[in-house]
Amino acid sequence: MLDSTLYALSDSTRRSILLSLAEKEQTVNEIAKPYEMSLAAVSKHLKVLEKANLITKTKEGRTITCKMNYGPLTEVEALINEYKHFWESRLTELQQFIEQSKKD
Amino acid sequence: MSQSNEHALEVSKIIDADKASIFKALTDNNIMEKWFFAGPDGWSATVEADVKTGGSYKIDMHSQEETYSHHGEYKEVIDNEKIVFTWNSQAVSDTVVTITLTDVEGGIEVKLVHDFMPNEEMKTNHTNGWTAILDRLAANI
Repeated sequence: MLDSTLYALSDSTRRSILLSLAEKEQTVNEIAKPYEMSLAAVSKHLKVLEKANLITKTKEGRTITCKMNYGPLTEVEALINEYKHFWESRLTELQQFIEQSKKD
Repeated sequence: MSQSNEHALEVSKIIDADKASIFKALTDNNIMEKWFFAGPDGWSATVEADVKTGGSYKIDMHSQEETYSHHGEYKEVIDNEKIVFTWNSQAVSDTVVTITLTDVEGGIEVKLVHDFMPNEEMKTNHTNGWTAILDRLAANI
């Protein structure tokens, strides 16, 4: 799950789409407007975002609207915080080890 | 989470020692076991690391009940300066950790960057960086 979220976020176009969806819900056409790419290419990006559960699509008649989901981002942030704590502790232990061995 | 740099995770520490002894502690398997996860709560670590460019490593962290395995490959090793390795765990695959040693006042700065999106295109666009996404998250909670 985290891997698919990280993969979805690893592309700058997808991040840019997400940032614009963070402002407000948009239709697929509205999302595609600022980009110099085909609607099909944009749809491909949206599919990746949807697979990672970063967006939800709703269909009304012919119009598909996309909405951003924050849930997976919360998980990514939790992972980063966990690792940050992990590496800080490791570096602290490294420091203590080295300073202790200098005294010995 | 508000980050001004482009890396989501960067930690550093200044250690009052010379580069050679810090580098040794970062690469000698027996010494790594002493600091890597020799925590106070009955944790211990076993390290098998072939520290050279292209070499692989495996670090197991043992709690009383479970073992957490991590493995990867050294992408770049420059004696006393820099170590770059991939980091795989149960949660993430092919992330990249870079450790650099730099002379600063009071000792050596050990800086560690953990990059969770190493395959990202190199184009750095801050307004479009992925920490911007996390800032958005912070703004919406």
